[in-house]
Amino acid sequence: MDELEYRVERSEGITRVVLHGELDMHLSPGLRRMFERELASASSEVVVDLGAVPFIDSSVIATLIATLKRVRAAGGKLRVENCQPAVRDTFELTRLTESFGIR
Amino acid sequence: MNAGPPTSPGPRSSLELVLPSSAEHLAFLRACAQWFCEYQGISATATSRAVLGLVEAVSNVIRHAYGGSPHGSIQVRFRASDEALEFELIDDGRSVPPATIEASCATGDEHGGRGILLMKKCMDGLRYEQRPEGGGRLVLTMGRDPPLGRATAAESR
Repeated sequence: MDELEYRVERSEGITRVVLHGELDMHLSPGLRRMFERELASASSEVVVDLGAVPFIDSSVIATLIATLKRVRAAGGKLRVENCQPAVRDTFELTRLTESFGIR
Repeated sequence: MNAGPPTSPGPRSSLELVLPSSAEHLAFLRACAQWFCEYQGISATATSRAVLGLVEAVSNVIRHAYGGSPHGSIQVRFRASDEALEFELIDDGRSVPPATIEASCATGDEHGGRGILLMKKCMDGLRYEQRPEGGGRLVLTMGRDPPLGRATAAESR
């Protein structure tokens, strides 16, 4: 997959970004630009839905951290939902499950 | 690659890829690594960790050995033995002292830096050396648990 696949759902003050496909260093620059664009006027609550993402790497983690910091600086909250087992394992290995509200 | 789930580990063989140093080839690398691990009878959890560790390693070579240039070449060798799976990466880009990688404790920030951490957490062993002819060689190892052959020996008693 050469292009980032995603959709954004906005309702009742929540912005849900649903990502699709494997995400790595090839796509993380586009992912970062997408977050900057779609969350420029973000609601107070952002949800990144990774239910359809079977793989992420450290470049994607870095992008998510940058986005988390930006959302928080604007007074909002961000959490990650629906991690597949391998992706959840990646967050656990980097000790970031709590930071992203992953249960 | 539609080999299907193996009923027993595949042959103790090796596989070699030569990839351009471009991140667009990481998806292909993942598919090869996934297949190789599954063919060798590695568990799903260990497979996903091996794939992640390998992707982090190759990403590091692209980023640091070749400075992001897509014109470099990365040899990736997959080897399987009774005791372990081994991934060997060979590049002819810029190399660093082994301690830079082997002793790194970086935990990362929003710009990155977690690649080596993940390599070390995903794999059982990591060894880096600067090649005399230039470039670097990185070997990642994941032990089989248990090693092949032990179950067979126990059953025969």
